[in-house]
Amino acid sequence: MGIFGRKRAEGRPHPRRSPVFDEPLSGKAMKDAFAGCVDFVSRELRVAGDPERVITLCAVDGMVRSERVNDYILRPLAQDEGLREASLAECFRLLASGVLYNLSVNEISTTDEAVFALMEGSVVLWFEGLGKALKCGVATEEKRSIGDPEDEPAAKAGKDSFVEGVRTNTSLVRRRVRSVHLRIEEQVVGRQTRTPVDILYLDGIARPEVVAEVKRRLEDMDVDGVINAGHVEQYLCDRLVTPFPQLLATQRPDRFSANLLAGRVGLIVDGLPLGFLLPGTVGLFLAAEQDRTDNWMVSRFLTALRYGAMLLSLFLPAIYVAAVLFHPEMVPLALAEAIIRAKAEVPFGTLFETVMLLLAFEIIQEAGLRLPGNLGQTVSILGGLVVGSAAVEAKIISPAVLIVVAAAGVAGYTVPSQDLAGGMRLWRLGLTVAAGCAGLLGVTLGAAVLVGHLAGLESFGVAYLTPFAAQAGAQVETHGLFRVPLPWVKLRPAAFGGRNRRNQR
Amino acid sequence: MKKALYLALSLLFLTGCGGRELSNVSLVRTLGIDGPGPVAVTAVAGTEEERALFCCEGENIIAAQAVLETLGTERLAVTHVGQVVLGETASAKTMWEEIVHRDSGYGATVWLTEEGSAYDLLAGGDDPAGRLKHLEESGVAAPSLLEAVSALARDGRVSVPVIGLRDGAIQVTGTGEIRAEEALQ
Repeated sequence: MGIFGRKRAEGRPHPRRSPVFDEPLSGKAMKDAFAGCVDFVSRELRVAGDPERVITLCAVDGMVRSERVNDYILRPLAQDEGLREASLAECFRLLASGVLYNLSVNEISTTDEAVFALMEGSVVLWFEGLGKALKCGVATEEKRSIGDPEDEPAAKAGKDSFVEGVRTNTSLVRRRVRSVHLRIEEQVVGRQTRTPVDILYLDGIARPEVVAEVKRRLEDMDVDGVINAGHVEQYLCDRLVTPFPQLLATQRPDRFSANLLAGRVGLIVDGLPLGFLLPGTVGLFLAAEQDRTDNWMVSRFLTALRYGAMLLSLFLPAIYVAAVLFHPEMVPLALAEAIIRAKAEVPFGTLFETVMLLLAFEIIQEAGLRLPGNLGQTVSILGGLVVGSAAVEAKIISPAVLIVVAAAGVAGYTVPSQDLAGGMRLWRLGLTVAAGCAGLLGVTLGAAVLVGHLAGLESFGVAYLTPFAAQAGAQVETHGLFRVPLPWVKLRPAAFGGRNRRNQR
Repeated sequence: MKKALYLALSLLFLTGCGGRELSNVSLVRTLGIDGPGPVAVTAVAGTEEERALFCCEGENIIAAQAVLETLGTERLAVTHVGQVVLGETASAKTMWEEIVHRDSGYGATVWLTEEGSAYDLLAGGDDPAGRLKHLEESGVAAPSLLEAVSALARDGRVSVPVIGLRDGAIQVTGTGEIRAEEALQ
């Protein structure tokens, strides 16, 4: 037994069974496949009451919409004049070519196809005498209606948000980007869940190598299921050992579409109310939708402020610890006196105090997140205000440390991506400990390791620090720290575009 | 990445003096220096309400200050010294040693006593640190340690305000001069 549990045995190969059901297609094969499934429905229909002409209708209850089955399939089967006299083979031809009122009717020939069509919410019509089957898409569209993007609010922008259905989500994008070059390709991922994952990109604008690489990685994903965002992010990212996100998850179809136009590739997973954008770069995680709607000068100011707040959040506790423990001479006299006075009766060391308080803030935040709405607010008021001020009054922690940690925490909330903010919280703790060990030297070394780490990250062949790092000699005309008015940005970002970079006259 | 980690770990051993808490610290506001011979260092520390005066001698300023830091119930920190008062007999050499010894606080202003030692002046005056700060603010041109030393190196002398006790309060009584001859020996 090691720290991380029992020593791992070498895994055996895990071959994918293909086909999953190897019996030839038949009504019995389908019944066997769904043995023990109470929601499987199968019904024998006789064309014009003729016992020789039997069609078996199979469906998964709850996945199909029963009114549609009645109106589009059962009604024509019972009422169509042409079917009365036709032979079974003729019936098959007629049904396949237009007697059914369904949008999609396809012929299928294997048990696998039939079973997975039933799972998706199709009705399968099995013609016993012919050994052939038809599938008709009558899936139910029961789902949540499109709501506000609550996690990423923005004024003067669209108020719709992705929902759980993949087709609804692609339609939200398609309604914004009405281009035939918008390609939507689908792959089914997950042995058990068989989740449709759609790859969206603009042909001719997105880099083909990135699209090919996304497809390859999705094909390589041999997992039981795709249920959570982590299944996508952790299997598609380039580097696993990093606290920083490499795919941007967004709720906003407008943000998603704008990034497709910039040459990024998008992923939409059925069951997740999110769109994933890649390649992920630092600038993407620090951009907010509001940046595109505000006046450019205001948003330039706010973007710069956000970068400053990010640095403050990372380094403030570390610099405080370094200054107080190692370099008191860098603290101005009045401030030094105030710190000494506040610290006089506090029993703990500065490093211990700061790290404890950083952890306490994480605990309060975690507690607030886990509780339902109003209770969460109560926790932050109780934890932050009551306990915090009581601890200061009781001289258990010094007010200076409380201010530093709280300021760093609040500054951290300005980062639009909570994934990036989470990574920075880990680094903040590490940098603070480094400062406690070696003062400013420790902070500097920690910062150097951080920059080295970030510079070493890559997302689908694009440097993570774009637009601050390598541009491979290409002309940079993208929003980084400073924004310029949109009419001046004549080129798409160099990093993920192909040769076609001009985006306006 | 691994190399960077090893480098960072090994550099941790080179961090020099360990971290010291800013609690139980008394900041020295004004430093008096007498010498040569045995060098005496006088420290005016504490806040305006609670003032403390410490004095000790040593062979040179480094030894004297090392002893100084062990005096008192609280650690005396010379990180925020505002004024350096040189006794009548103190030489440029002592000032030179003081600045070489320091790793910060070159902004402290330099003053010279009219007669007698810096200790006598600082012990006799009422709130010497506050008084000197007040004089600084009211426009007395006292050079900083750095200015004084660079003037010594450039011109061989530096003019410094001279202070003395008048009715128990520190007053400026004129301008004196420190010459470099001794410092250059």
